[in-house]
Amino acid sequence: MTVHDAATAPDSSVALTFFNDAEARTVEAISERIIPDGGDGAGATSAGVVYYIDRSVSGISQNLQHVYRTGLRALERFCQGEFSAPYVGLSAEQQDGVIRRFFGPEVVGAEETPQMYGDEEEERGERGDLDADLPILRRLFAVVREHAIEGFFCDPVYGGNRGAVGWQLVGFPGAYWGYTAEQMGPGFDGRTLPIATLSDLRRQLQEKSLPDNSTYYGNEEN
Amino acid sequence: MPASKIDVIVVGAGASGAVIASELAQAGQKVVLLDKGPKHTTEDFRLKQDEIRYYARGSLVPSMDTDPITWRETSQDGDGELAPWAAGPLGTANPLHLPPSLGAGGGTIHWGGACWRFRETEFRMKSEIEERLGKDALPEGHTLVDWPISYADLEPYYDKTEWELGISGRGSNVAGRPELNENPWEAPRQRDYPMPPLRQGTADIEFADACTRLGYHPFRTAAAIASEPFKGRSGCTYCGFCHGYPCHVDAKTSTHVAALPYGEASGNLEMRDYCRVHKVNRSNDGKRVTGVSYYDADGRSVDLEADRVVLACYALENARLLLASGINANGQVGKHLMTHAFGFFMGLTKEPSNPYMGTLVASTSIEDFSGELVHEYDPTVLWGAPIISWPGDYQPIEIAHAMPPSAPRWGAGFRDWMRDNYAHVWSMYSQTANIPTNDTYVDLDPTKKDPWGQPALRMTHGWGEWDQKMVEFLLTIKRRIAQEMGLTYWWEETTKPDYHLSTHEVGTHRMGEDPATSVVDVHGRSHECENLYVVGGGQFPTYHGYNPTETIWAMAYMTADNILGRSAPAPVAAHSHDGHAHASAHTHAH
Repeated sequence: MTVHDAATAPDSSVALTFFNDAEARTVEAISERIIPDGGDGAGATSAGVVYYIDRSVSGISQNLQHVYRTGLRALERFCQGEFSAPYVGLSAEQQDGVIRRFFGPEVVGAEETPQMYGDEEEERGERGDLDADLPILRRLFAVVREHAIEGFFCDPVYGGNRGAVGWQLVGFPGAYWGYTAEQMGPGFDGRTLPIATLSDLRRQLQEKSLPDNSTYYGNEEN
Repeated sequence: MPASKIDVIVVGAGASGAVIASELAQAGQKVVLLDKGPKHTTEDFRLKQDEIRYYARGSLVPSMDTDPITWRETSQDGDGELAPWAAGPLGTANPLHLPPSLGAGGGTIHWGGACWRFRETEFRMKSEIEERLGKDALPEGHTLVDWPISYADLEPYYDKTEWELGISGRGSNVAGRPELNENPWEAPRQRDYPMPPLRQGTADIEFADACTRLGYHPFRTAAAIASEPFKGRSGCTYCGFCHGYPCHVDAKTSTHVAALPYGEASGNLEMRDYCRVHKVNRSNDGKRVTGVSYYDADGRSVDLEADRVVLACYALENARLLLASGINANGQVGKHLMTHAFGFFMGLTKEPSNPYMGTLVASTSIEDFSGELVHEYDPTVLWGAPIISWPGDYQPIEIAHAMPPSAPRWGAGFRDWMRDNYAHVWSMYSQTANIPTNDTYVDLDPTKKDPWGQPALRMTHGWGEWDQKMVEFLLTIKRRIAQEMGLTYWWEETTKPDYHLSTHEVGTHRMGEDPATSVVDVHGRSHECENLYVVGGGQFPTYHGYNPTETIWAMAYMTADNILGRSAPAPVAAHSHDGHAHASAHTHAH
C-alpha cells in the first residue's frame, strides 16, 4: 500500500459515542453550513466532522457536553417556534440565517463587533424563553464553528477529515517526517506531494522504513 | 543518587533550571530537580505531527484549570478575570499565549527556537532613551532602569550557550572574520556560531531580496535548532511542526536533550516529575531558605531540605512562589512586568509559500530599526526592534485562526479562502516590549485559587500608547516590505493586542545591585535569603525586541559559575576553532 492509498482510505466508522441520532444530524447540518461542500466532495459532512465532534465531546471535551445537549435542545425550540420545523428540515438559506442570528455574519470587519440577533432584545427582555436561550445558543454556534474547523483539518485518526478531504482542499500534505531542499525551494508545487497521515508515519516507524534524517537536513544547494 | 544530604534543589526543569541543575551536578553537587510536569523523552514525541494534540488542545502547556492566571488591564479595574485570551470557544488556546510547556525542557520543548544576543545598547536602554530623547520622553510612572551588567559581561556566556547547547546561525561581527558582515549592528562576538543557518523557507528569500532592494540589511536569524548533526543530535528535518510542538529528532535545542542528560550522566542529578512546589521554606530568622514543600504525583505534601534552592520556573511562577512563601520584604517581587506584542503581519505571496514546511526561525531578519536606531526615523518612538520573517511551520487550523478580518468566518467563503490562500501564507513579526510602569505587575489573586488551594497569579497589564507607537512604527516598515515583495494581500495584528501573555514574560524579580530596589543580584541570588537563587527572564531589568531565551541561558551559566565559585569562561583562543571556521566559511559560500 502506498502512502497515498493509506491516506485516502477513509475511517468509515459511523458509530456514535455521545450524540443521539437527532443531535448528530443537527450538528452535521450546522457543520455543513460552516464548511459547505463546493461540489468537489470537500465539506464538513463528507469529512465526517460530526464524528470528530462526537469523539471530542465524549472524550477530552467532556466539559462541552452540556453546551451541546442543552444548546441543541434550545436550537430545536427556536426552529420550531420560528419555522415550525427542526433545523435539519430548513432550507440551506434558512439554516444560514439561523447561524447569522446566533454567530453573526460571515464577514466581520476589523474593528466591528458582530451584531447578532438578540443584542437589542436582550436589553428589552421582551422575548421570554428565547431570551433565556440566547447565551447557550451563541455558545453552541461558537463551539460548533471551532469544532467544525478542527474536525475538517484534523488528522484522520481523530475521526474527521475523512479521506483527507480537508487537507486536499487546501493543499496541506499532512504528517511528514521532513522536507528536502528541493521541496523547500522556490517554484516547488506542494500539491504534488502525496498526503500522509499519522497512521502512515506510525506504520513506517514500526516497519523501520522511515528515510534517514540526512535526506532532509542535507543541503545540496550549498 | 543523593542519599540524605541534598546540596541544591532546583525548581523547574526548563530553559534555565535544566542548565543550572546539570552544570551543578557535573561539578559534583548533589541536585534534586523538581518539575510539576512530566519527564519527557524524545520517544514520547516520535509522532508529533499532530495539530490537534499540540496546537488546538495544547497538550504540553498548562491549562487555566490547573494553573489559573487572572488578568486586569489596570489596577483600577477591580477583580481580575481568568485570562480571556487563554480560553477560546472550547476552553483551550494557542500555546503562544499561555505559560510555557510543563515538564523536562519546559518552554524549550515547544518553543520556536529563536535565538538572539541582546545588542550592547539594550543593556542601557533607559540611559539611551533619556540621553537621546530627553528625560521627559519616558512615560509617567515608568520603572525602567539600566542593567547592572553589560554586554561584555555576558559575551563569554553567550558564546558558551551557543557552543554548549547548539545554536545555528551566521555571525556578522566575529573577531578575525571581516568577511562576515551582513548585520552592521551585531554586537562583537569572539567566534561564529557552531553551525551554519537553517535552510530558508521559499518566501523568506523574497523577504530578504525585498529588504536588500529597500536598502535594509538582511541577515539570517539565529536558531536553537541544529542545521546539521550536533553532539549526537540530528540536523533539522524541516517537518513543519515546530513552534508549539516537540521535536521528533532532537534537532531543536530543548534542555531535556541538550542539558539534562549531561547532568544525569554524572550520577548527581535526580529529577522528580509531577512535583508541584507550593512553598519555599525559611529559617527562623528568615535570612536563609531551608528547602521547599511540594505536592507529589499523589497529592501528598513533601518537605525537602537542601543547602541551596534555585527557583527556575518562569518569571510568572517564580514571582508567585516567592509571594506565596512570603519572601518579599522590599515589596519588589512581581513588579516591572514586561511582555511582548508581536505586531504580526500576514500576507499572501504570488508563488506558493508552502507554509507547512520548515521552521519559523529558518528565516531572515533586519535590525535597521532596532533599539535606539529607530530614533533616527521617528524620535517619538521610544525603542525599536528587529523585523523577522516567519516563512513556515503553519498548519491549517492555525491559519484558519489567523485569517484577515475581510475573510468570511464560515460558509462557502471561508472554505474557498482556505482553499485559495493557505499555500500562499507568509508572515513577518517584530517584538516590542511594554515599558514597565507602576501599573504593570503581578501579585497574588485575592480570591482565585488553584485546585491545590494555592493562590492564583494575577496580572495587571495594559499596553500604553507609547507601547502601541512602537508596534505601529514597525508596521509602517512592514507595509513597505510587503509592497516591495509584491504580496497580493496583507493584514495586520492590532497595535493593542488582546493578549498579555506571549511566552516572553520577564522582569518580575528584577536583578540589581541595590537590595532596596531589586529582588536578586546579578547572579540571580536573592537579596533577602542568602542561599536562594531566583533565575530566568524575571531577572531582566528592561526588555527589548528579542526573544529572551539565549540571554536566559547565558545568565543561567553565569549563576552556575557563581554557585560553584568559578570564574567566567576564558575567551576561546582563535586557533581552537580555526578548523570549524574554515569549514563553515566553505559551507556558507554562495
